[in-house]
Amino acid sequence: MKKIKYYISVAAVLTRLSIQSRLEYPFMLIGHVLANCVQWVVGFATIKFVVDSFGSLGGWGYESLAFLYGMSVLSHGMAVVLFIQTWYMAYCVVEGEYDMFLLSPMGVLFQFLFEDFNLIGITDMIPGLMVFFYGCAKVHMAVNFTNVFMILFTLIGGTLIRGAVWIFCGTLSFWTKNTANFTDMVGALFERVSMYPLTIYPKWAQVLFTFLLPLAWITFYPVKGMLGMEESVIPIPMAVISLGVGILMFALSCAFFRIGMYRYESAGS
Amino acid sequence: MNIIKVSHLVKEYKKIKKEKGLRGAVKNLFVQDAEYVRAVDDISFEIEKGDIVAYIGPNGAGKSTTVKMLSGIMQPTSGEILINGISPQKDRKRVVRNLGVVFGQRSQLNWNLRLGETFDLLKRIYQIDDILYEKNIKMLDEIFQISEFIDTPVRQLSLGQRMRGDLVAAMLHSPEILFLDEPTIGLDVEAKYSVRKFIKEINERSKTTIILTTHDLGDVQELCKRLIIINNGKIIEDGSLDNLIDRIAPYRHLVIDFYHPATILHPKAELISVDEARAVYKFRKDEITAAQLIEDISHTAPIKEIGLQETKIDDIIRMAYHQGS
Repeated sequence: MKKIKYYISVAAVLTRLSIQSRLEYPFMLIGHVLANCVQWVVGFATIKFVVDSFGSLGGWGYESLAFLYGMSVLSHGMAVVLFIQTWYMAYCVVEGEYDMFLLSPMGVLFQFLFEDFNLIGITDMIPGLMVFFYGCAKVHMAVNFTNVFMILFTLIGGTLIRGAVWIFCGTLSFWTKNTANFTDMVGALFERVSMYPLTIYPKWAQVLFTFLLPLAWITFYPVKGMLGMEESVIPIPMAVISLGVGILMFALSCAFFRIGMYRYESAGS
Repeated sequence: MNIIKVSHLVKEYKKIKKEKGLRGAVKNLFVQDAEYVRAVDDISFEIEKGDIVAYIGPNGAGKSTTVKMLSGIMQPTSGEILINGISPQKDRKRVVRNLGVVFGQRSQLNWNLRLGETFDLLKRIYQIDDILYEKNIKMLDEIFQISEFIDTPVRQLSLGQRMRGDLVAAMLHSPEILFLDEPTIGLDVEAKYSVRKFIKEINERSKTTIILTTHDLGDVQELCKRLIIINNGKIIEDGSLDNLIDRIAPYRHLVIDFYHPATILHPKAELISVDEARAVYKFRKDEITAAQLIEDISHTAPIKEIGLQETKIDDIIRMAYHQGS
């Protein structure tokens, strides 16, 4: 308990400092707000165009798609705020950045994750929130206790899954020294799998993204559950399973990072 | 008491030989010609509490590798390190709590923010209570005079100020041991002088044990009673600078200007050159003192001017490097 309090107090200072750092460059912030808004609005317009032309996408109507898309952009935004530094893990290995973390009496991954709280990432959330509320209105999402919790679980689960996959990719750099291509590919995968219904993909891809690389749990299954589109096989809400998958994935990625760190310590940079 | 104990420390690297050209690059994808290189090769030493020890050697000798292993950043291939009786490999967090580390080429200060913010963070990380923190800041300010730039963003500090900031950051949690990796690199004469003065003062005030790696032999001369020289991963010298000079370069030169040209011989000194009224003698300082020699010669001819030449420290260290390889 004392240890948790200690880590939280350090995390709070680290977060404050990284927000202060980001505020040193306010124009970057404005640029990102504009760029992100344009990006998501264009993406959303594309979906609308597809649905308008074909009537539905993988059996999903326009309203449900809007909600799915909104959830996806939101958890993307959260993941970018919390975990963006995992994109630069290869750089940290090559430059020996972890040396500094190892000199401090705290966990390396903890320091690494909290060292860079990405304030700019919040700009990702603004269009996300807009699309999300729009989607909520379209599917007539009732504002009640259950729904609020299901949405929260989904967001946390989805954010953790995204973060975990990034940490996995980044950790590979302890062996390969360069994972930029891989990170880009994963980013594209996240978008494709979490913004569109899984049902548009072939059977084998559906199995892959459900069990092996469980990206479908970021939005697809929990949203399906919330919209009542899934005949429940097990009596647990999809959003809760999604949260469980997120926690499990995150724990696994932390364990994998430890293995990578051990290699770093033996090989040096 | 020995605060640092290193025994039979070895670090082996895998070095991969790359073949040339495209053909070689493709071949290297499948077959790799690896050889093992010992960056640190069976090193043992002990360091006493409160000492300042210089750890020097040419580039690639294994200095940084040793410091990295001592501070828990790197795992040794074999051998044992004990810092205050604890192995940094087994309990890194506990060891680094008692360690301050400064890399001359890398800063732990937050680049974008005022210097004080980094101190604030370190206060949390090392759980320094308010009373001790205030006391330490006050003491460190007396030594380093940081209050004049504590509110300046780190990116605007001069290199010398940044180094002072880094030293304070490393000393804030009152560690018993300080590792300084090239602390004076890139500093101008004035800044170098003050950093040396600060290091000395920290050592005297807090009895901090300091290990210093450097290429600047002025640092060694000014600060260190003991020096360990490493080359090709092995320790080739370990002792005081004076001892090293006595052993490697026991000779000194005495230059004498007489009033009139004179050739005077002395049984314990070799006359190596005579140019008009100037004579140069070479002598071993364990055989005769300079004073004695001057006195003896002045009995024979009046002396106008004298000069004593020691072998330059750079030359001595260079000789030591060569001797070891």
